[in-house]
Amino acid sequence: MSEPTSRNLSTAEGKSPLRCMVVHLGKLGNTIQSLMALRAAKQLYPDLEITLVTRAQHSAAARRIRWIHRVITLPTDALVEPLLKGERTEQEMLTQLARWISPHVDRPWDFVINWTFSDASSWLTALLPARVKLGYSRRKDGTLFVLDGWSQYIQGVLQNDLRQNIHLTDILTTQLLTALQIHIGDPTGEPDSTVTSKAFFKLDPELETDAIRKDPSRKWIGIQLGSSGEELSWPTSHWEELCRRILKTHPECSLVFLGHEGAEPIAREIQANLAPLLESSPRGIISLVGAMDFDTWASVIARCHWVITRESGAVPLASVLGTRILLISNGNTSWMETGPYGNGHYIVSNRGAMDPGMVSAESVYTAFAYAASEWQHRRQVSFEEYSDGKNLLPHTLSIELYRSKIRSTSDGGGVFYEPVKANAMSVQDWSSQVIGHIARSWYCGWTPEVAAEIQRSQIHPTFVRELRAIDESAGVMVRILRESQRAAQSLHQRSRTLRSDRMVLVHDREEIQSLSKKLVELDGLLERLVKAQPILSVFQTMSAVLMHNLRGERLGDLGLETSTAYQQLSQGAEIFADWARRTLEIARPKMIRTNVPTKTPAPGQNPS
Amino acid sequence: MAADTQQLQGEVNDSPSDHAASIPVEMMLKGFLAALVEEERREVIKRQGILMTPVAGVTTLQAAQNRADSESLEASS
Repeated sequence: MSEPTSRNLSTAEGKSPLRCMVVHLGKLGNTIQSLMALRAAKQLYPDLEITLVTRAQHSAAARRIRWIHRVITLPTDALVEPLLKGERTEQEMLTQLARWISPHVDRPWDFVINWTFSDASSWLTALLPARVKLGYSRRKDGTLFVLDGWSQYIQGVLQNDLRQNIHLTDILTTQLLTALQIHIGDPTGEPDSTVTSKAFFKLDPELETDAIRKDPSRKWIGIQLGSSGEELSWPTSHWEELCRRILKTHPECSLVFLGHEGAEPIAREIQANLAPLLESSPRGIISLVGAMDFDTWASVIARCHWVITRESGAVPLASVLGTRILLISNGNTSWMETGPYGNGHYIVSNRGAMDPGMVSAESVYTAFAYAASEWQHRRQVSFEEYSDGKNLLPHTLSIELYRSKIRSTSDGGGVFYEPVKANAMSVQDWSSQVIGHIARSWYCGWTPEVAAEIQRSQIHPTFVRELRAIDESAGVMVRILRESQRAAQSLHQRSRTLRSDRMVLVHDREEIQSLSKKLVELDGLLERLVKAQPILSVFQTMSAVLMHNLRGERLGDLGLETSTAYQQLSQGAEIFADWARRTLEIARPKMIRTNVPTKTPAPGQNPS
Repeated sequence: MAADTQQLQGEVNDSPSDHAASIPVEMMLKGFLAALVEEERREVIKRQGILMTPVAGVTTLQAAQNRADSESLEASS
């Protein structure tokens, strides 16, 4: 992992802090998401002294964390704008950048963790001296270098939009804790402490608005509005209808509108249209849209019982604050990676329809009403029965509804989303579980039971047909990758005895060329197989990532690393094939024993 | 190499770590700055909805550099 060092960083005294720099140049929501992973690490390794690098405009959340030692801000605007406006030369700005970096390289960090997974952050990571590095960096020749397995997975799978089912918070937590365990040793902190908390941030309580603070008896529902120009925003008429229904049927609830200034026209329009309804309930809605800094936003969300939102920074914020979330998804499945984290959050989506307007206000309302009355029905009533009881069943037929749940540590931990409505499983759903399983096998050294979360009711005949084809192709994939591994191993054996990579005997050269040619041919076969069966493309993208990140400089070393990479890939392909076989077994009709005796007709007797 | 970059190169080289003792600091800085500019350019495109593809072979950074170059040429002439 990371830098090629096996040095144990734990100090004999165990007292000196472990200096850890986390590079997070992403947006505020991404930063908040990674704070959960850092919190877990800090609880388990109290000696960690965390310094966070963020962009100035996204630093508010980190500045409100007690256990973060220092926040360093990157003045992006001051560095970039003068250059874009032609007011300064590149050389002048390079000087500015060098001055900004200089204080942070005076002594090496114990850990530098780049959680931005971006081009810019990789250059910064390369410049920072550290004993252990994780994430994206640069080689001396300036090419991108991905330092550890989980980061390679992020590059190969998440950044290629391949579906997988491990939440990003779980990936970052596992990546960091594994590195700490390898380089420092077992944790000394409290393993069972909760990470999320209403007091996650150190906020000024006076910042909370009077209306909310003075009326604690009411149940506040945060409505996070996006501006109408935003990509895939939910229509204003839908928000209005949702608010109308909540106010009418939940008199104990008040709504607080949240959002930046771009959403002000939407908030005003909804309030104006709901004015007659609000006459009887003057505290029904308050709007903080456009009037929020981070502290107000966080303190209000902490006070809310629920936050209803599209994909936004409110999702990780409410997650860390332990406020329940109802996420209105646009039909893509990015919420599996960046959705609500914790127990009891809901996601309503309309799979296949990328237009979020396709998720109706009535269906979101029904999901909310079902979720908010869990204490009453204890989920003994199905969502379908509940919708039917509310005369809303037709509105909910096309939606998918999921509820988040944290797995027990004995089952591997992490968040997963269980379907609340019975949905037929697609090949992509299935594959996302398989890829998650493969990742755990590669990087955790622990795997759950194959296909343990697959239920027979989710499997339909079309899926079975597709699965049979996948089963066959996965078997071919295993054979290609095993053969590639053998060829790479032979290349290693043949070349490790060479005195030089440049001057070799003719017959040695011919043999090495023949093995290289074979590897190229096998690579071509893999490409053709993926073209025919795209669900296996994870092996092609991961192969490219693994080959790009080989460390060796000599032919023999490269051969050995290539062989190891193909071994990893072939183990993954075997898991894929196992899943296909096991799922087909689950789908197979089973004989059911009944108590009703069956009569066997006597020979010649009419069975009817 | 500018004085500040040289100084930074010295500091990086002096840091006693497994970090490569001779990383090409100037190249890394240039890469970092260019990537920041490119990210900002994309952000501007996203915010303003303007499609600015380098069809004409001129990115914003290049345009800025060209402008700076032509200004310095004008000044020198």
